[in-house]
Amino acid sequence: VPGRALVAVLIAAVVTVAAAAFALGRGVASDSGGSSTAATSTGPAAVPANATGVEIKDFAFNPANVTVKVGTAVTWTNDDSVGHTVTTDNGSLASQELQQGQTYSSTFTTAGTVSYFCAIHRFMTATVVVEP
Amino acid sequence: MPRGWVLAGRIVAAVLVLVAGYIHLKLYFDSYRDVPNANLGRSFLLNAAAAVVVAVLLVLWRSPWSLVAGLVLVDATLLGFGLSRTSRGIFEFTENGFQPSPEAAISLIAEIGAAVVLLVLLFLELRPAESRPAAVT
Repeated sequence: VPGRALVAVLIAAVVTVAAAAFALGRGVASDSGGSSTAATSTGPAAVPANATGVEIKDFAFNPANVTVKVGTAVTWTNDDSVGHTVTTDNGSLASQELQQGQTYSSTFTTAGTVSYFCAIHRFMTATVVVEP
Repeated sequence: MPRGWVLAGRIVAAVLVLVAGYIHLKLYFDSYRDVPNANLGRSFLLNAAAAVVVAVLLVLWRSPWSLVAGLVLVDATLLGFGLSRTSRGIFEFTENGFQPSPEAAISLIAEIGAAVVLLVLLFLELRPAESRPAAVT
């Protein structure tokens, strides 16, 4: 019976080490870091006349789909207490991690549809449709 | 090992489990209750509640099973963290790196610390009687 007990401890140790290695390994592997951009700022967003705003709240972009004219500036404001980013695969949108209250702006100069996401929470997706 | 040290180890493990549980509770009220899939938020609440139960068991129930309960909670939490960092995610929720910071890192440190203490205690309590120091009478 003591032998069995030690085997049980050994199994518990292996499972625990595996769980810890998995958690730490995935944490390191998925760490995207933060890309910087001069367009990020803190405080209330100053939305110019030719501009529109997107709120980041409750792990979602709101509105998830906005339609703007070419030359329009879009400003994202993070209202969540956890950090989010505004990111595209091609790098056209690349905010740093936005903390609560921080904003990120980008002016769209080309017509088309821009799909973006939060690099920290990849399930958060949205689009900006830019019309001529 | 003196009984006092064993109790101290159990208290340390209980505190570490509580720290991780508190962080999950804080994150739930900060934002995670608003994650679209409500099961994610519920799992944070469940984690906090389980941490309280396990902490009480660790201190009041001097059985190896309370140590096992602590390991199950800690291992499940670590597994959940790891899964949330995969492309598949957990409850449709994915997150990158050690976010949110510093909560994720603190929670991981507390959980891994608790796991180490729990494993040592489990070994000490289950090792063969002949390998234990003779009791002083």
